[in-house]
Amino acid sequence: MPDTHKSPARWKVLKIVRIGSQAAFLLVFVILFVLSLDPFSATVNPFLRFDPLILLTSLRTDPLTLLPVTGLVVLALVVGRFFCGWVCPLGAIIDLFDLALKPLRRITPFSKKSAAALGRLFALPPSLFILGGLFVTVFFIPPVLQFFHPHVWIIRIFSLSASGLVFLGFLVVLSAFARRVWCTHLCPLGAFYGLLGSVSLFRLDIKSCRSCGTCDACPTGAALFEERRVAGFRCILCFDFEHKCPSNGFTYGVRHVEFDKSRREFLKGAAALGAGLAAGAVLFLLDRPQNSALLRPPGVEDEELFVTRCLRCFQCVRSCPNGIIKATGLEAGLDSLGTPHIEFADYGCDYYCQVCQEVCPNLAIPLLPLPEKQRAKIGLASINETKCVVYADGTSCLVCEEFCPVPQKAVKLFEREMRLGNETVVLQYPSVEKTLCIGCGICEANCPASPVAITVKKIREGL
Amino acid sequence: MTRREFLRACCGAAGLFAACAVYPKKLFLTSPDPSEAFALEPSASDDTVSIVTDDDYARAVELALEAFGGIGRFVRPGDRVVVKPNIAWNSPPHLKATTDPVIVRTVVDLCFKANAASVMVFDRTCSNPKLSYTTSGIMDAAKEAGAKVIYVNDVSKKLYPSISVKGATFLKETTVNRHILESDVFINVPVAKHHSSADLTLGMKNLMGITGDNRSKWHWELHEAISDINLAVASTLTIIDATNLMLRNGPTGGREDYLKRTDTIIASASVVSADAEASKLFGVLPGTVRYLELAVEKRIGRIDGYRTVQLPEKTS
Repeated sequence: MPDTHKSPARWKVLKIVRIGSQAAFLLVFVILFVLSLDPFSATVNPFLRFDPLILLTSLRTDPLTLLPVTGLVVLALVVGRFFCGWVCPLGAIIDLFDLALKPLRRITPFSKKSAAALGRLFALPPSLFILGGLFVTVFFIPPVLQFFHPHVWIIRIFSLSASGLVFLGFLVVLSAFARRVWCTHLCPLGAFYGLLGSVSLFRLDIKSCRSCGTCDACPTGAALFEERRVAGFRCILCFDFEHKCPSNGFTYGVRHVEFDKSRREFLKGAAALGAGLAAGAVLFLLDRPQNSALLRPPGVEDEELFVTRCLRCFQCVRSCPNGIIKATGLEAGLDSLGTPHIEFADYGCDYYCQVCQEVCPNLAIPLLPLPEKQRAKIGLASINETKCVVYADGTSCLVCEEFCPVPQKAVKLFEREMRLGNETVVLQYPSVEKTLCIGCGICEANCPASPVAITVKKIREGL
Repeated sequence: MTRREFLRACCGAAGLFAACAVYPKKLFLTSPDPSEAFALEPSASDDTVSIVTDDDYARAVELALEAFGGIGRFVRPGDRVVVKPNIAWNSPPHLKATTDPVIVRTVVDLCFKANAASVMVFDRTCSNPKLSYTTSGIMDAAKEAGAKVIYVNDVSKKLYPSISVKGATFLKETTVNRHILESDVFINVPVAKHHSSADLTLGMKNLMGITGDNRSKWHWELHEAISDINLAVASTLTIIDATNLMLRNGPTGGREDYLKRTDTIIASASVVSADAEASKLFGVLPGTVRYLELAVEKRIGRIDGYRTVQLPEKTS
């Protein structure tokens, strides 16, 4: 059990350890991301697999995946909102920006006054509102979590996707005004850990104070020295200023129950969360059946469930060794924006590869045993007989059959006589065996006819 | 001229002659007479086909080359060697859609034992190159043996210069990997498989992996194309992995019950004769394979009348 009253030197050690922890987790994140690009590493990203909010998306499909994350929740209930200051890799990046832009924040209009104004601009914490909204919307189509989750954003950033880079620019702008604006005002994961932090067993507190204002520089505005307390909801346990306190007035230990001081705060938070839940319920009206023609990564069967659960993190887009998974733009409607779809180019979907399944953080692309993946239908190939050189010109060509990776060959050959001028020749014709074809598109990628004569189309029920 | 200068000049001239003697073999031939490819190796063994059956594939390769007096017959000290296995598909070694990694490793080892200056291993794959090189086990095997393994799927004019092929009926012009054109010794190490379009894929078909052309389009005149690419580039040596014959649904296969275990290695300086001998293992008459027939017409090699050396010797 940590002592309640530490010497300035020990507070400083805590700060150094905290920065070390942040750096280590950021490094691990980057290494794992780079490894995930290697199709043989089968690296999963634990930051997204071990996340209470992302795992909510699995509640309908694999509720048991939620079990391990309870450990993280319990830890936060004991020590507070440590995740944001000690673990979160996006938090580390924000801290770096904050440090770099420190000189800029000293000059108006970026001064502390404007930062305070920004704080007052939000009577209620928007992050709680967002959290409330996504508690509801996580179960249906309009994507809310997907646009507010910090670790999804950090993968988009490392994927060098346009949206990721725009978000990075947004973070830089925020850093010019105040520290950790994303974390305190927008991040729903931060709000979630904040809720746990506000009722945590241990907490940081102010025991004695000379109102010098040193701790006013708290990155999340949690040190309320005028009220002689630290707001558990906002405190990320960074220990940046405790050692500078002239009266060494900070303590960290078992919380003294003092709810009344923050009753107003509690009510405001509850109102924000409630409003978010209500807004989420309204968004439910936008839920609608999906019937897109987009080819999805292998193993995806239920289009609606996939659009609901897909985090739009672009991890599969970035990891596909054949580069055939693309992020969908607006062409397929708002619901599919940012979801992955397959476009066959130089290659089809490799018969032995399941990298997209391995890297998908919440198994929206289900991770199947290899033999099952090799039977999973992406779509169905069909031959356009007016374009196929065998049917149209009597040229012998069996590329589609040759490349078909299904051991029994989903492209079957049959012989037929054909008159070419005065001659009658026997030609071999390709045809697709629907029960065997998995729509891997290797035939489409290698068809020598131009335009391509064999194409994969999505199997859509009722069509 | 001082005595020292005179001696130096003599040594230089001798060195030049020696170099000419060591590096006379030019691999790609554009001469109208393809038999010139073998003219530089004047020996009765040029149309010899060595057939070895042994369940230790490394030993089988060594024994197969013993018939020619060892690999030193083809690889001279200081030679730059290219070994071209079949790495076309992303398929695990036990399914035999690609050359056995043990055989590739043995060939590379032997080249270095013969004091080759460098050995390169590559193939222009059909599946993703990284996946194919790794899954086939060839990347690791070749690297362990000390070969330089490179990816060659990015087709550029620099990597694939254009050459004209004299006597060709379909590929008057084609592009061939620069490393092969610049090598001293080119060793073709195919795997013997059923092939839906070409009947069988053996040594001649394996040379489709040396071009930068759109190979899908070659399928429209596949047999002409296969014979022409062999007219463009002669293999110094062909070592066929016929250890486990894929009998059906080639060239990708995908099931072990499509395979027939024969534990056989076939080696020859003549790719045509090696292929002819290998096709017999499938119960196919060499004359019925169109590209072998064309190879005879184009005087690339013989499908009969060659000498065979068999180990263990046939008991009749």
